[in-house]
Amino acid sequence: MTEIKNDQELVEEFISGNESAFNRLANRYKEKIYWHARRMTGNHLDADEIVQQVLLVMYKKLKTFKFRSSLYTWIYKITSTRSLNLIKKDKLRSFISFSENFDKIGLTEEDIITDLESKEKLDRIHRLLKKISPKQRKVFILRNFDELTYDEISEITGNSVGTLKANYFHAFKKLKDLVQDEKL
Amino acid sequence: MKNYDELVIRYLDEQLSESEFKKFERELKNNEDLKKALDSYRELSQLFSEDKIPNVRQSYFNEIVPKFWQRIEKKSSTFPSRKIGFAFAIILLAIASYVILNVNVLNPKSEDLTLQSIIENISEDELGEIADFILDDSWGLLADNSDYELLKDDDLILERIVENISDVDRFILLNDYQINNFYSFIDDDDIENAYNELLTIRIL
Repeated sequence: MTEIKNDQELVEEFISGNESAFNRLANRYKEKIYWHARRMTGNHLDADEIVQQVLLVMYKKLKTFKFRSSLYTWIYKITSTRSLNLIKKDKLRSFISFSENFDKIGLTEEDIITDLESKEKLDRIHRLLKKISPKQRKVFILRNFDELTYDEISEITGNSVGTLKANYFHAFKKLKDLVQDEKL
Repeated sequence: MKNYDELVIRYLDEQLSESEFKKFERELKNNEDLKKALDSYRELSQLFSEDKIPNVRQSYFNEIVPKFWQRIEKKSSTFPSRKIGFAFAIILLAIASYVILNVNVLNPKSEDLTLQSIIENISEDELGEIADFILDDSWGLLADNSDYELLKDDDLILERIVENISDVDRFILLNDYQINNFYSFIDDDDIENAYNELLTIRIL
Protein backbone atom coordinates (compact mmCIF):
# COMPACT_ATOMS: atom_id res chain seq x y z
CA MET A 1 0.00 0.00 0.00
CA THR A 2 1.33 3.45 -0.93
CA GLU A 3 1.93 5.71 2.03
CA ILE A 4 0.14 9.04 1.74
CA LYS A 5 2.64 11.78 2.47
CA ASN A 6 1.83 15.40 3.00
CA ASP A 7 3.16 18.18 0.80
CA GLN A 8 5.97 19.14 3.12
CA GLU A 9 7.28 15.56 3.35
CA LEU A 10 7.21 15.23 -0.43
CA VAL A 11 8.98 18.55 -0.92
CA GLU A 12 11.67 17.50 1.57
CA GLU A 13 12.13 14.20 -0.25
CA PHE A 14 12.39 16.01 -3.56
CA ILE A 15 14.99 18.42 -2.15
CA SER A 16 17.02 15.48 -0.92
CA GLY A 17 17.14 14.14 -4.46
CA ASN A 18 14.11 11.87 -4.83
CA GLU A 19 12.55 12.91 -8.13
CA SER A 20 9.64 10.52 -7.74
CA ALA A 21 8.47 12.77 -4.89
CA PHE A 22 8.14 15.52 -7.47
CA ASN A 23 6.03 13.21 -9.63
CA ARG A 24 3.71 12.60 -6.72
CA LEU A 25 3.34 16.31 -6.09
CA ALA A 26 2.75 16.98 -9.78
CA ASN A 27 0.14 14.24 -9.93
CA ARG A 28 -1.53 15.63 -6.83
CA TYR A 29 -1.96 19.12 -8.29
CA LYS A 30 -2.03 18.71 -12.07
CA GLU A 31 -5.81 18.65 -12.40
CA LYS A 32 -6.32 21.66 -10.14
CA ILE A 33 -3.73 23.58 -12.15
CA TYR A 34 -5.33 22.54 -15.44
CA TRP A 35 -8.87 23.50 -14.50
CA HIS A 36 -7.89 26.81 -12.98
CA ALA A 37 -5.93 27.68 -16.11
CA ARG A 38 -8.69 26.44 -18.38
CA ARG A 39 -11.33 28.56 -16.68
CA MET A 40 -9.03 31.57 -16.78
CA THR A 41 -8.05 31.21 -20.43
CA GLY A 42 -11.16 29.44 -21.69
CA ASN A 43 -9.47 26.80 -23.80
CA HIS A 44 -7.58 23.53 -23.60
CA LEU A 45 -4.43 24.44 -25.52
CA ASP A 46 -3.56 27.40 -23.31
CA ALA A 47 -4.41 25.46 -20.17
CA ASP A 48 -2.18 22.60 -21.29
CA GLU A 49 0.70 25.00 -21.85
CA ILE A 50 0.20 26.64 -18.47
CA VAL A 51 0.20 23.26 -16.70
CA GLN A 52 3.62 22.53 -18.19
CA GLN A 53 4.94 25.96 -17.27
CA VAL A 54 3.72 25.66 -13.68
CA LEU A 55 5.30 22.23 -13.29
CA LEU A 56 8.57 23.65 -14.55
CA VAL A 57 8.45 26.52 -12.06
CA MET A 58 7.70 24.02 -9.30
CA TYR A 59 10.61 21.87 -10.42
CA LYS A 60 13.01 24.80 -10.50
CA LYS A 61 11.86 26.62 -7.38
CA LEU A 62 10.64 24.00 -4.93
CA LYS A 63 14.14 23.71 -3.56
CA THR A 64 13.86 27.22 -2.19
CA PHE A 65 10.27 26.90 -0.99
CA LYS A 66 10.17 27.60 2.75
CA PHE A 67 6.55 26.75 3.58
CA ARG A 68 5.82 30.25 4.77
CA SER A 69 2.57 29.69 2.92
CA SER A 70 0.93 26.41 2.01
CA LEU A 71 2.16 24.70 -1.12
CA TYR A 72 -1.19 24.76 -2.85
CA THR A 73 -1.66 28.53 -2.45
CA TRP A 74 1.83 28.95 -3.90
CA ILE A 75 0.90 26.73 -6.83
CA TYR A 76 -2.34 28.65 -7.38
CA LYS A 77 -0.35 31.88 -7.31
CA ILE A 78 1.95 30.63 -10.05
CA THR A 79 -0.95 29.27 -12.09
CA SER A 80 -2.93 32.45 -11.73
CA THR A 81 0.03 34.65 -12.69
CA ARG A 82 0.84 32.51 -15.72
CA SER A 83 -2.78 32.59 -16.83
CA LEU A 84 -2.98 36.36 -16.53
CA ASN A 85 0.31 36.76 -18.40
CA LEU A 86 -1.02 34.63 -21.22
CA ILE A 87 -4.30 36.55 -21.36
CA LYS A 88 -2.37 39.83 -21.53
CA LYS A 89 -0.08 38.46 -24.19
CA ASP A 90 -3.01 37.26 -26.29
CA LYS A 91 -4.70 40.62 -26.00
CA LEU A 92 -1.55 42.42 -27.02
CA ARG A 93 -0.99 40.02 -29.89
CA SER A 94 -4.47 40.55 -31.30
CA PHE A 95 -4.05 44.30 -30.87
CA ILE A 96 -0.64 44.73 -32.45
CA SER A 97 -1.25 42.26 -35.25
CA PHE A 98 -4.30 44.32 -36.27
CA SER A 99 -6.59 41.34 -36.00
CA GLU A 100 -9.69 40.76 -33.99
CA ASN A 101 -9.42 38.78 -30.78
CA PHE A 102 -9.20 35.17 -31.81
CA ASP A 103 -11.75 33.18 -29.88
CA LYS A 104 -10.07 29.95 -28.87
CA ILE A 105 -13.09 28.74 -26.94
CA GLY A 106 -14.86 25.98 -28.82
CA LEU A 107 -11.81 24.68 -30.61
CA THR A 108 -12.39 20.95 -30.68
CA GLU A 109 -8.98 19.86 -31.84
CA GLU A 110 -7.08 18.05 -29.09
CA ASP A 111 -9.67 18.94 -26.47
CA ILE A 112 -10.13 16.56 -23.60
CA ILE A 113 -13.89 16.91 -23.23
CA THR A 114 -15.29 13.70 -24.57
CA ASP A 115 -18.92 14.40 -25.27
CA LEU A 116 -20.48 17.22 -27.20
CA GLU A 117 -23.05 18.14 -24.60
CA SER A 118 -20.44 18.64 -21.87
CA LYS A 119 -18.31 20.62 -24.26
CA GLU A 120 -21.14 22.94 -25.19
CA LYS A 121 -21.96 23.55 -21.54
CA LEU A 122 -18.35 24.18 -20.71
CA ASP A 123 -17.86 26.52 -23.67
CA ARG A 124 -20.91 28.51 -22.62
CA ILE A 125 -19.56 28.90 -19.09
CA HIS A 126 -16.11 29.86 -20.32
CA ARG A 127 -17.54 32.41 -22.76
CA LEU A 128 -19.43 33.99 -19.88
CA LEU A 129 -16.31 34.03 -17.72
CA LYS A 130 -14.35 35.72 -20.49
CA LYS A 131 -16.80 38.60 -20.46
CA ILE A 132 -15.75 39.71 -16.98
CA SER A 133 -12.39 41.33 -16.32
CA PRO A 134 -9.45 38.95 -15.74
CA LYS A 135 -9.08 40.26 -12.22
CA GLN A 136 -12.71 39.58 -11.29
CA ARG A 137 -12.57 36.29 -13.18
CA LYS A 138 -9.59 35.19 -11.14
CA VAL A 139 -11.32 35.91 -7.83
CA PHE A 140 -14.57 34.32 -8.99
CA ILE A 141 -12.82 31.15 -10.15
CA LEU A 142 -10.73 30.81 -7.00
CA ARG A 143 -13.80 31.25 -4.83
CA ASN A 144 -16.53 29.52 -6.80
CA PHE A 145 -14.72 26.69 -8.56
CA ASP A 146 -11.54 26.14 -6.57
CA GLU A 147 -13.56 26.72 -3.40
CA LEU A 148 -10.82 28.58 -1.56
CA THR A 149 -11.50 30.81 1.43
CA TYR A 150 -11.08 34.56 1.13
CA ASP A 151 -8.02 34.36 3.36
CA GLU A 152 -6.43 31.86 1.00
CA ILE A 153 -7.33 33.96 -2.03
CA SER A 154 -5.85 36.96 -0.26
CA GLU A 155 -2.62 35.04 0.18
CA ILE A 156 -2.59 34.21 -3.53
CA THR A 157 -3.52 37.60 -4.91
CA GLY A 158 -2.13 39.95 -2.27
CA ASN A 159 -5.46 41.79 -2.13
CA SER A 160 -7.39 42.47 1.06
CA VAL A 161 -10.37 40.29 1.89
CA GLY A 162 -12.66 43.32 1.51
CA THR A 163 -11.39 43.97 -2.01
CA LEU A 164 -11.82 40.32 -2.90
CA LYS A 165 -15.39 40.24 -1.65
CA ALA A 166 -16.13 43.33 -3.73
CA ASN A 167 -14.55 41.68 -6.78
CA TYR A 168 -16.57 38.54 -6.21
CA PHE A 169 -19.78 40.51 -5.85
CA HIS A 170 -19.23 42.46 -9.07
CA ALA A 171 -18.25 39.31 -10.95
CA PHE A 172 -21.28 37.37 -9.76
CA LYS A 173 -23.67 40.24 -10.54
CA LYS A 174 -22.20 40.80 -13.99
CA LEU A 175 -22.48 37.10 -14.78
CA LYS A 176 -26.10 37.06 -13.64
CA ASP A 177 -26.85 40.06 -15.85
CA LEU A 178 -25.14 38.38 -18.79
CA VAL A 179 -27.19 35.22 -18.38
CA GLN A 180 -30.37 37.28 -18.18
CA ASP A 181 -29.37 39.19 -21.31
CA GLU A 182 -28.92 35.89 -23.12
CA LYS A 183 -32.56 35.09 -22.47
CA LEU A 184 -33.83 38.32 -24.03
CA MET B 1 -38.25 46.92 -6.68
CA LYS B 2 -35.56 46.82 -4.02
CA ASN B 3 -32.13 45.66 -5.10
CA TYR B 4 -31.28 42.41 -3.35
CA ASP B 5 -28.12 41.54 -5.28
CA GLU B 6 -25.66 42.12 -2.48
CA LEU B 7 -27.76 40.34 0.12
CA VAL B 8 -28.38 37.32 -2.09
CA ILE B 9 -24.75 37.02 -3.15
CA ARG B 10 -23.58 37.20 0.45
CA TYR B 11 -26.20 34.59 1.36
CA LEU B 12 -25.07 32.18 -1.35
CA ASP B 13 -21.45 32.92 -0.53
CA GLU B 14 -22.16 32.06 3.13
CA GLN B 15 -20.99 35.47 4.27
CA LEU B 16 -24.07 36.49 6.28
CA SER B 17 -23.82 36.67 10.04
CA GLU B 18 -26.08 34.36 12.02
CA SER B 19 -28.63 37.07 12.68
CA GLU B 20 -28.55 38.25 9.04
CA PHE B 21 -29.00 34.67 7.91
CA LYS B 22 -32.06 34.12 10.10
CA LYS B 23 -33.57 37.43 8.97
CA PHE B 24 -32.93 36.49 5.34
CA GLU B 25 -34.63 33.10 5.72
CA ARG B 26 -37.62 34.70 7.45
CA GLU B 27 -38.02 37.36 4.79
CA LEU B 28 -37.69 34.81 2.03
CA LYS B 29 -40.99 33.24 3.06
CA ASN B 30 -42.98 36.41 2.45
CA ASN B 31 -40.95 38.48 0.01
CA GLU B 32 -41.52 37.52 -3.63
CA ASP B 33 -38.92 39.95 -4.96
CA LEU B 34 -36.25 38.48 -2.72
CA LYS B 35 -37.25 34.97 -3.77
CA LYS B 36 -37.07 35.97 -7.42
CA ALA B 37 -33.62 37.47 -6.96
CA LEU B 38 -32.42 34.35 -5.15
CA ASP B 39 -33.78 32.11 -7.91
CA SER B 40 -31.91 34.01 -10.61
CA TYR B 41 -28.62 33.64 -8.75
CA ARG B 42 -29.32 30.00 -7.96
CA GLU B 43 -29.84 29.38 -11.64
CA LEU B 44 -26.40 30.80 -12.30
CA SER B 45 -24.85 28.70 -9.53
CA GLN B 46 -26.51 25.64 -11.05
CA LEU B 47 -25.05 26.50 -14.45
CA PHE B 48 -21.56 26.81 -12.99
CA SER B 49 -21.86 23.58 -11.05
CA GLU B 50 -22.15 21.79 -14.40
CA ASP B 51 -18.57 22.78 -15.09
CA LYS B 52 -17.22 21.03 -12.05
CA ILE B 53 -17.00 17.42 -13.15
CA PRO B 54 -17.22 17.25 -16.93
CA ASN B 55 -16.54 14.01 -18.78
CA VAL B 56 -12.94 14.24 -19.82
CA ARG B 57 -10.36 12.12 -21.57
CA GLN B 58 -8.55 10.91 -18.47
CA SER B 59 -5.53 9.78 -20.48
CA TYR B 60 -4.66 13.46 -20.95
CA PHE B 61 -4.09 13.86 -17.22
CA ASN B 62 -2.06 10.66 -17.13
CA GLU B 63 0.21 12.08 -19.83
CA ILE B 64 0.94 15.42 -18.14
CA VAL B 65 3.88 14.34 -15.99
CA PRO B 66 5.59 12.13 -18.64
CA LYS B 67 5.21 15.04 -21.09
CA PHE B 68 6.84 17.32 -18.54
CA TRP B 69 9.90 15.05 -18.25
CA GLN B 70 10.17 14.83 -22.02
CA ARG B 71 10.24 18.61 -22.22
CA ILE B 72 12.84 18.78 -19.47
CA GLU B 73 15.09 16.46 -21.49
CA LYS B 74 14.54 18.45 -24.67
CA LYS B 75 15.18 21.70 -22.86
CA SER B 76 18.46 20.55 -21.34
CA SER B 77 19.75 19.63 -24.79
CA THR B 78 18.85 23.01 -26.33
CA PHE B 79 19.45 25.31 -23.40
CA PRO B 80 22.83 26.88 -24.42
CA SER B 81 21.43 28.32 -27.66
CA ARG B 82 18.37 29.60 -25.82
CA LYS B 83 20.58 31.35 -23.33
CA ILE B 84 22.45 33.10 -26.12
CA GLY B 85 19.18 34.07 -27.75
CA PHE B 86 17.87 35.39 -24.46
CA ALA B 87 20.98 37.51 -23.89
CA PHE B 88 20.71 38.81 -27.45
CA ALA B 89 17.05 39.72 -27.00
CA ILE B 90 17.85 41.61 -23.80
CA ILE B 91 20.61 43.55 -25.52
CA LEU B 92 18.28 44.53 -28.35
CA LEU B 93 15.61 45.53 -25.89
CA ALA B 94 18.12 47.74 -24.09
CA ILE B 95 19.21 49.35 -27.37
CA ALA B 96 15.63 49.98 -28.42
CA SER B 97 14.77 51.46 -25.03
CA TYR B 98 17.83 53.70 -25.11
CA VAL B 99 17.10 54.97 -28.60
CA ILE B 100 13.45 55.65 -27.87
CA LEU B 101 14.18 57.48 -24.65
CA ASN B 102 17.05 59.55 -26.01
CA VAL B 103 15.77 60.29 -29.45
CA ASN B 104 12.04 60.49 -28.94
CA VAL B 105 11.68 61.77 -25.41
CA LEU B 106 14.75 63.93 -24.85
CA ASN B 107 14.91 65.18 -28.41
CA PRO B 108 11.38 65.00 -29.77
CA LYS B 109 12.07 66.97 -32.95
CA SER B 110 14.50 64.44 -34.29
CA GLU B 111 13.77 62.09 -37.10
CA ASP B 112 10.85 59.77 -36.49
CA LEU B 113 12.10 56.57 -34.95
CA THR B 114 9.85 53.88 -33.70
CA LEU B 115 10.33 50.38 -32.42
CA GLN B 116 9.23 49.19 -35.80
CA SER B 117 11.84 51.23 -37.64
CA ILE B 118 14.52 50.02 -35.26
CA ILE B 119 13.50 46.46 -35.90
CA GLU B 120 13.58 47.05 -39.64
CA ASN B 121 17.28 47.91 -39.37
CA ILE B 122 18.15 44.61 -37.79
CA SER B 123 19.15 41.85 -40.15
CA GLU B 124 16.79 39.00 -40.94
CA ASP B 125 19.23 36.50 -39.45
CA GLU B 126 19.36 38.35 -36.16
CA LEU B 127 15.62 38.68 -36.03
CA GLY B 128 15.21 35.05 -36.93
CA GLU B 129 17.42 33.97 -34.10
CA ILE B 130 15.55 36.08 -31.60
CA ALA B 131 12.17 35.05 -32.92
CA ASP B 132 13.04 31.38 -32.75
CA PHE B 133 13.94 31.84 -29.16
CA ILE B 134 10.98 33.99 -28.22
CA LEU B 135 8.33 32.07 -30.12
CA ASP B 136 9.61 28.84 -28.68
CA ASP B 137 9.83 30.27 -25.21
CA SER B 138 7.39 27.76 -23.87
CA TRP B 139 9.43 27.53 -20.71
CA GLY B 140 8.70 31.12 -19.87
CA LEU B 141 12.30 32.15 -19.26
CA LEU B 142 11.44 35.68 -20.24
CA ALA B 143 8.80 35.95 -17.53
CA ASP B 144 10.46 33.80 -14.96
CA ASN B 145 10.49 36.23 -12.07
CA SER B 146 6.85 37.16 -12.25
CA ASP B 147 5.66 34.16 -10.33
CA TYR B 148 7.17 35.39 -7.14
CA GLU B 149 5.65 38.79 -7.08
CA LEU B 150 2.06 39.39 -6.20
CA LEU B 151 0.12 41.05 -8.94
CA LYS B 152 -0.47 44.66 -8.12
CA ASP B 153 -3.79 46.45 -8.47
CA ASP B 154 -2.44 48.36 -11.41
CA ASP B 155 -1.30 45.24 -13.18
CA LEU B 156 -4.12 45.58 -15.67
CA ILE B 157 -3.10 49.08 -16.73
CA LEU B 158 -1.79 47.71 -19.99
CA GLU B 159 -5.08 46.02 -20.64
CA ARG B 160 -6.93 49.30 -20.14
CA ILE B 161 -4.49 51.13 -22.41
CA VAL B 162 -4.92 48.49 -25.06
CA GLU B 163 -8.70 48.72 -24.75
CA ASN B 164 -8.62 52.49 -25.03
CA ILE B 165 -6.22 52.64 -27.93
CA SER B 166 -8.07 49.85 -29.69
CA ASP B 167 -10.83 52.30 -30.43
CA VAL B 168 -8.42 54.56 -32.27
CA ASP B 169 -6.99 53.73 -35.67
CA ARG B 170 -4.55 50.99 -34.85
CA PHE B 171 -1.92 52.23 -37.25
CA ILE B 172 -1.47 55.33 -35.10
CA LEU B 173 0.01 53.18 -32.36
CA LEU B 174 3.45 53.15 -33.86
CA ASN B 175 3.96 56.88 -34.24
CA ASP B 176 6.22 58.69 -31.78
CA TYR B 177 3.49 60.07 -29.61
CA GLN B 178 1.81 56.75 -29.09
CA ILE B 179 5.07 54.93 -28.50
CA ASN B 180 6.12 57.46 -25.87
CA ASN B 181 2.75 57.25 -24.15
CA PHE B 182 2.85 53.51 -24.31
CA TYR B 183 6.35 53.48 -22.91
CA SER B 184 5.62 55.77 -19.97
CA PHE B 185 2.56 53.88 -18.76
CA ILE B 186 3.66 50.30 -18.82
CA ASP B 187 6.18 48.34 -16.79
CA ASP B 188 9.24 46.39 -17.90
CA ASP B 189 7.39 43.12 -18.39
CA ASP B 190 4.80 44.81 -20.56
CA ILE B 191 7.50 46.43 -22.67
CA GLU B 192 9.14 43.07 -23.08
CA ASN B 193 5.89 41.47 -24.18
CA ALA B 194 5.16 44.33 -26.57
CA TYR B 195 8.62 44.12 -28.00
CA ASN B 196 8.32 40.39 -28.48
CA GLU B 197 5.05 40.88 -30.27
CA LEU B 198 6.58 43.46 -32.58
CA LEU B 199 9.35 41.05 -33.40
CA THR B 200 6.81 38.37 -34.09
CA ILE B 201 4.87 40.38 -36.65
CA ARG B 202 8.04 41.62 -38.24
CA ILE B 203 9.10 38.07 -38.92
CA LEU B 204 5.89 36.15 -39.57
